Amino acid sequence: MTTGTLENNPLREGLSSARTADPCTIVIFGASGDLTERMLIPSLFALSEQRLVAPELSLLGISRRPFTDSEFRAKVKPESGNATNWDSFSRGVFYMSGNHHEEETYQRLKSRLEEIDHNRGTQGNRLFYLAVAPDDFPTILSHLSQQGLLDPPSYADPEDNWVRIILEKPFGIDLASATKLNKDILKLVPESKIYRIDHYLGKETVQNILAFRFANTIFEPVWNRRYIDHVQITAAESLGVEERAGYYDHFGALKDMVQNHLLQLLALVAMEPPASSLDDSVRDEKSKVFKALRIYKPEEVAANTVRAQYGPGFIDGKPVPGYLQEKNVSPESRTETYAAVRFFLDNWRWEGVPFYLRTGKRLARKVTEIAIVFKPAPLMLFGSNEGNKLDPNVLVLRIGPEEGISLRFGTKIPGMTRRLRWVNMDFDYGTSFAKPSPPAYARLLHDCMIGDPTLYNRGDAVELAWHVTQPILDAWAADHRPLPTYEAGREGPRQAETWMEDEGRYWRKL
Amino acid sequence: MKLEDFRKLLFLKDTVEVDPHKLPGTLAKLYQEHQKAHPEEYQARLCTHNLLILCGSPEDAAGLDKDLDELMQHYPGRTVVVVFDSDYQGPVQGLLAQYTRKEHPAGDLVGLHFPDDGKPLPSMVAPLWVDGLPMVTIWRGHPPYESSWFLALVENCTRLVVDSGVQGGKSLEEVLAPLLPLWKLIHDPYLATQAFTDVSWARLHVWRDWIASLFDRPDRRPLLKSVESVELEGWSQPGDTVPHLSVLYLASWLSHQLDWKLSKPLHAVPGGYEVGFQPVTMRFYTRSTDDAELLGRPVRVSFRGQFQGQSFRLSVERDSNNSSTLVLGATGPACSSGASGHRLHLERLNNLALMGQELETDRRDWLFEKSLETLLEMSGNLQPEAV
Repeated sequence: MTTGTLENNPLREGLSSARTADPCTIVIFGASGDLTERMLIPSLFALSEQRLVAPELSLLGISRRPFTDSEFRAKVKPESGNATNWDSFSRGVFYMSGNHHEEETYQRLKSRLEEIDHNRGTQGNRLFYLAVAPDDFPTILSHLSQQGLLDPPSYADPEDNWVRIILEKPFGIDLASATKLNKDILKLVPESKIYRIDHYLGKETVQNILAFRFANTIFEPVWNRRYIDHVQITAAESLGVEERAGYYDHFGALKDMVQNHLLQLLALVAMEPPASSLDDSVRDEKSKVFKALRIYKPEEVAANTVRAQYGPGFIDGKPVPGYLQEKNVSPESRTETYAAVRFFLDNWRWEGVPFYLRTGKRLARKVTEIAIVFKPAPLMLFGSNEGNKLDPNVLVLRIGPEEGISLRFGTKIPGMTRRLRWVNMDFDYGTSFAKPSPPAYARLLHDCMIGDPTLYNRGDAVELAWHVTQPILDAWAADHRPLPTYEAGREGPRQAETWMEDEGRYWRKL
Repeated sequence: MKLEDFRKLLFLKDTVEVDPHKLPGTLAKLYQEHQKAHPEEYQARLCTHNLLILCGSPEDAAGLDKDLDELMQHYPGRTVVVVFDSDYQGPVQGLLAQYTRKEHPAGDLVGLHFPDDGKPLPSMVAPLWVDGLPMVTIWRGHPPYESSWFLALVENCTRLVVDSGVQGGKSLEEVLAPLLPLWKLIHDPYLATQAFTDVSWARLHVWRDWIASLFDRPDRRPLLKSVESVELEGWSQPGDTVPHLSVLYLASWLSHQLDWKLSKPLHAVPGGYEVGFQPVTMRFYTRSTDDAELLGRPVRVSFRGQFQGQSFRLSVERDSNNSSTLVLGATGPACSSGASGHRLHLERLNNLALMGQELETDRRDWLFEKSLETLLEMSGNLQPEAV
């Protein structure tokens, strides 16, 4: 891995910005898609404006649609940004029309890449970004391999130059497909060259979970089953399925959010301190968390999960249709738009502590957060005569929309009574730092270019995450009872509320 | 200066006149009143820092009103601005403006109009600081390094920011004069926990970053050991050939980081100045400008040398048609046409951005301290044995 350069470039010492990534060519398969225009190009351009990528950086888009280089540049030009900077950046943006199933495309790709290396000085460093359906990953990699494109070209320095591959999610549609995909890919490319992207992990506040846990020693002693009652991880959206209905109807909330994003958050909350942030330690610790997740037997699934579909309701005062009435959704669809799962980790630190993960569409509010709910004080010294409920301390790591951290604690209300009131100590990213957070994709692309895979998913972790979700999917598929519904714009299905209440707990209000 | 003029100098929003000798009580009372006026479920007080800005004269406070107003909106904290006014002989005058965010108190901006003598100042501001938060002191103008009350203020802060290049200089001696007192302050054993910086250094961040990026490529790094000459050019007033402090800091930073050993101290040569290091000669040039904001800023840094029998030139310089655009030049080995001529628009580092940068820095900048020391050595103002 070539992440550290201080010892190599003494002028980089003491500078707050990360090092400039090596010159390279990024080849985007599926370049005419929305992702390139909306996320990848704006992120790379932002990196260029911050001098975090080399001036030689080149980008070659590939898809079937016919564009010239200049048409492609015009199509992907971001709405904001300095015109001079875009002129400089866009000189390195190219396009090649081609079918990624055909050999001929890769022959042309090879000579185009050599031409770019020669003209732009990209030195044979290549990053292949596969923004296509996962079924096509092995096909593309196989063709790249046949053309010798998975290794630096002969004119490159094998010590310093590199080839890396970013695989866009979803990584498989179930355990079997993810396992097969991993197997097929690893036949062609070693794990060290593969970067499985989950943009959630590039979010500033997600990365801050590690900083919060491992840079503040006051929390570590209470970060365990002795003091924590349970953890709630929520990703609620007020939006419906919008234009993604066709895709979503085949996936559902569990695959779309829980299997990847929410389990990643769980891993960051539950993992042991890594030995280092510079090697694979963080990913090792996350994999250990996935290994410790309890896998449910079919008969245990119903008691540990809730699923539901949204019905008609109101969002922002306006009526919205139910899921079954959405365009491109089958009227008989049994796809869940809400999923709540109770996970347990069978390890020393977390034995007996439930992790409640919930996600849903068309809920009351958009919010993504992790709530660490501590055990209540053992003795009610305050407020017992006033009927005060003895609430627990809650530490909330807010990931969106207002990123921050808050800690709820009880304080005595001034006066002769012994009553408590709960107050929040609140840290808000937006109010405490003037600098906006970089886009998640920018962080992740830069990490890949400098060879740091920490924020990318490793193959074993992806499979382990499928291992714990697959039994739930199977049990749900075998359960033909009517799917519960919830009114759009509400907190979720009634079943989820009672499910928590039965355990003497309650969901945090959205 | 009258109170109304003082108000206009620092404040863009409504103020109340306050007794400067009763500020802690006044601030506490205003907070309580705010709480009463907003009986929400809870009231948070947003505060990330304490900031003291000292202006040696009303002229040093020029343009502060806009910067302060923006600063208060971006950085919640307690800010006290003191303006020394040698024409004013009356009692200290105080004005206060409060800032809120989402109904939460998020900043007090106190302005103190001070006569020339700063002796009472440390005792007036010390009780104001919000406990446990950084205490940044920024001095605009030439700091009174020899005054005991200035030392008392420095002792009470966590970070001192000065601008040694603010007054420029007609001779090299004048340019370098503020540096030795600053170096002594940094090495005062009683100030071991304080952090220091110089605005002329802080402004160089983007330039250092650009110059470093020239050598980030693995195949370029060997070129660092083959540099034979470095040319540094800075904006100046017409006819002025003395290098500005920022450019000198850039040179001392380079020589320190690249471990170049001084062989001939800074001296005048036809058309500019020169300093000799064992492997490298550094030359300083000036380019005249009428734009006051550009004065003293670097224009060009270029490296020349020979590597494996081929000569190379790597450079960062401002576009001749647009000073806000930096152009990268690279010719020779490990250089390609893809990089040469690469242009990037440079956001001007305004006072607000600089203040924000300092508020977000909380530790001693040893790189600055080493660059200052190296600069004093390369100009013959500090003998190595004194270090």
